Amino acid sequence: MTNTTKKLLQVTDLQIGIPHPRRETLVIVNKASFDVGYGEMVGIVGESGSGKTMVCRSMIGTLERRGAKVLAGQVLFEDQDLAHASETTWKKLRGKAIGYVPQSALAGPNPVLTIGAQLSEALKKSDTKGTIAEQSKALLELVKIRRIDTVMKQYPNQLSGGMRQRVMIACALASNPKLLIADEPTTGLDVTVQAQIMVLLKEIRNEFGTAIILISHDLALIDDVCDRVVVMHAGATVEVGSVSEMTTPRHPYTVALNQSRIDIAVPGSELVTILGNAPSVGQWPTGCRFAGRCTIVQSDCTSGDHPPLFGDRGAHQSACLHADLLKGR
Amino acid sequence: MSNAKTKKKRQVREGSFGLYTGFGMMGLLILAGLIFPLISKYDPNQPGLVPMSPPDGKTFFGTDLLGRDVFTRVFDAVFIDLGTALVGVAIPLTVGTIIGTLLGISKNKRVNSLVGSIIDGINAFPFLIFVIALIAFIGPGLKSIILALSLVNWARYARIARTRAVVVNQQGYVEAARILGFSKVRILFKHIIPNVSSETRAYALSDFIIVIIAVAALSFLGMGSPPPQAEWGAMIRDGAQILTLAWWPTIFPGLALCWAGVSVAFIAEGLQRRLREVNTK
Amino acid sequence: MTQLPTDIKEAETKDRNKLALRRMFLGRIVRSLSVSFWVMVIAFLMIRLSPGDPVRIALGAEATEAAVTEMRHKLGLDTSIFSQFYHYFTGIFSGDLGMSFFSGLSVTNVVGTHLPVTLMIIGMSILLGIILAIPIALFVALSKNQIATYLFRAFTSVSLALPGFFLALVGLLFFGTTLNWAPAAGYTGAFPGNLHFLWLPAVVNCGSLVPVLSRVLHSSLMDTLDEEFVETGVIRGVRKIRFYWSYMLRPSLAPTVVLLSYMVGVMIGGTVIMETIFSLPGIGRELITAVDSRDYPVVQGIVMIFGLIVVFFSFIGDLLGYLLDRRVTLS
Repeated sequence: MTNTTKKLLQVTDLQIGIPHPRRETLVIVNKASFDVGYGEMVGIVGESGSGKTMVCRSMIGTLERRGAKVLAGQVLFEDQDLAHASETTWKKLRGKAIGYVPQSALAGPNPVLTIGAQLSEALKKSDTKGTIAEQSKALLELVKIRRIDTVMKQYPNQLSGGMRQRVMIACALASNPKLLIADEPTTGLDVTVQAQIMVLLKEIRNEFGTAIILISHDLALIDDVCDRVVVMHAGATVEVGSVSEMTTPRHPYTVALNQSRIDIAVPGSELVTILGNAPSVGQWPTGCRFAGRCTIVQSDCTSGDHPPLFGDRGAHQSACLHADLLKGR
Repeated sequence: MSNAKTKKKRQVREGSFGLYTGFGMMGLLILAGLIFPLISKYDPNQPGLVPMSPPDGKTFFGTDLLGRDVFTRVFDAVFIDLGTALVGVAIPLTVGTIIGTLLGISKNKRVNSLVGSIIDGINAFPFLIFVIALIAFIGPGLKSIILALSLVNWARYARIARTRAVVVNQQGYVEAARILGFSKVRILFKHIIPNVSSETRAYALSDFIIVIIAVAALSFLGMGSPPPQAEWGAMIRDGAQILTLAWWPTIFPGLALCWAGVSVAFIAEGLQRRLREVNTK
Repeated sequence: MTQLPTDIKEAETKDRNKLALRRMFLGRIVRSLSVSFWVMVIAFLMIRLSPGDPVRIALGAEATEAAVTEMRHKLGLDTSIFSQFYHYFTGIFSGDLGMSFFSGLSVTNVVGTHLPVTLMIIGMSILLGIILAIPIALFVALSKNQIATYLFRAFTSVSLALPGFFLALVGLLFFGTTLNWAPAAGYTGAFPGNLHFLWLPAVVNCGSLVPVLSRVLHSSLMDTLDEEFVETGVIRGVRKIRFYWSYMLRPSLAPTVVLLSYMVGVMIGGTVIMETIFSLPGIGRELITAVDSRDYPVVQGIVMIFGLIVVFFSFIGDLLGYLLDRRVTLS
């Protein structure tokens, strides 16, 4: 290990696939590596199908429900390897050290349970003090919900999307987790509500020192709130670095992502879109998986294995063989 | 996505399996209904054999209480049963689709709510009970069964058609045809009814199973064809009286009825899966 | 704490929801009442609008003119249709459904004596249907086994196409004659001794219920399993039984409950046949007897009662469905 400070989470060369009884295993994530430090807010960005959700499922133990499993690599959470944890281990882990905020605010909460019931469910596994009712109220207060007594008795469909997501965050915080995973937590919410949720997440991090992994396809969103950024493309991490380092990207995919950002586009100019589509799972080319869409592709890019992340862990890393070609841009 | 592709392929095969099995079974039954009564040396309705003799090499399904060949009677009944059910589905399908479509596109609120209430009222009655009650008033017989089925079932088709017609009526192609100045009748028959009836026809197929069984059940209750006409339900009714003495006059027409029902069920299932597959493409 | 824009929106949403709930409840009641009214009207009109002349059909071709006139008078068919309807309608509310032609008993009396047996068969069928359908659907949905799903689909579509009255006879032949477990006649009313007579009819009758229920439940379970909140439950570490109930079954149950209430009509139809085959003194067998003897007031009364029962159960089913799952009507 090159970095001496201990990390909360270390993902190393993670490989995830969907086994099939008769055919070859379908590999959906290969060569994913990144770290999350204590109290750090890390954003994972990538197009849909880039494997970011699968990576995060490997940290909460729900890969098998979707028929997928970890094929190789490590997911070290403190000193425990989550990648190969058994169901019994997961039973002990769940609802404790790692909190999870689901993708869709509308479908996240259980529709047939009241908010109070869901909170008390989440609190049952925690070992914090006070009655469940008191704690539930404290949690709802924490996520800035008003009229708490009413909300406790309400069903999710009686709440707006933003409120539901606040409740989900409250549930995830119930066990006082060290790591909070938020998988595109603002999908389908109004822009104003999106911003509020993001601010809330950041406040939680600042107040409790909870490390947060924020998954999004929106680089602008991540830039606003995160400390570090992990860029994923076609099942691999292609660039890892701090937000400030990312202003000078070292991977052509990140460059393209930056160029296609609406928020910093020059008014009147044409929006740049990324060339082509990401290669489908199971149809990855040899060599760099981005080569087919790359503007600086070289002859050696299309042979061999997908390049690993170059550079020291914790520093600005890129998986581009010719990152130096980007300097002039 | 190679995974999704193979999944779709398998679904096509599954749907086809149902369709082929269903059509095969139905084809065999129809063929048997055509051929066996013709080549059989016994008259379906003429008594004369030893009564209640068990199945053997001469009378494959045995004979009934009156000494008639059950085998000949079972296959003689194929067209009576299937035909009655077919007409009993076709009439309400047509009437219901037209009434429902007209309701769906009409702007007359009063007519709409009145006919709508009647439709809801008719649909509230248990299907079989209502048919039985109507037969009480119009008298027994296969024609009465068809009439009663039509009087009851049009409302179910009308409800489906009305809901669908409201949607279809707002579709772009109908709007476009209207702007192009096509006549109302042309729009109705060329654009609206075909799209509405795709839904009612789909329902008719599953309804066909219910109606096949209902026709036989009504005959079983003594409301169908008068004797000596061979009809599965009536045969089962006659057989049930001597069930403990001879099982064959009851079981064989019953199996024929099951065969017919299951073959339509397979066709319906296969078609449904195929439609779903087409829709998800 | 500052008033967040979401909270203002929230307050509005809450009021809207309460209103929507009240509106849906009142709407259902109004609808049920209106359908009930039309059920009465249709039962009333049946005899009056029937093609042919029911009176002549009842009396036969050789009936004298005087006999026809007398029967018309007995049925009250010789007054104006509006005064007939007035008498009929006010009669219903004072519990007067007319008199049987032949037994001389009031129709209310006939219904009152025979309804319990019918309701018992229906109740047993439904109970049995639920007990069988839920585990079957759960097992198939959870196994995620291709072959199990395929067999399940084949089994349900085939069993839906089997005629109940034939199965009842086969059952009677097997359990009645061969095993002597189920009697074909001789019903005695006292509970629990009557279960001996009712179990086979109930089993056969639920044969049309189990495939429908298990199929709908299976497909809602499959939908639920794909839902994100299930994942949330897993991650939260919810315990087994609670998980099965709160995260799988309950969110999937509403469509099944609503469907079950609609299936009451089908169950009634099946019960009529079962009562005939097993000689059970239910209201269904009374109906068949009345149809055979053309006892019009009894037919009309029974049909109307069955119609009202169905309306009542649909109302209950809709309500229960909503209470089980708040998404049902508000989303």
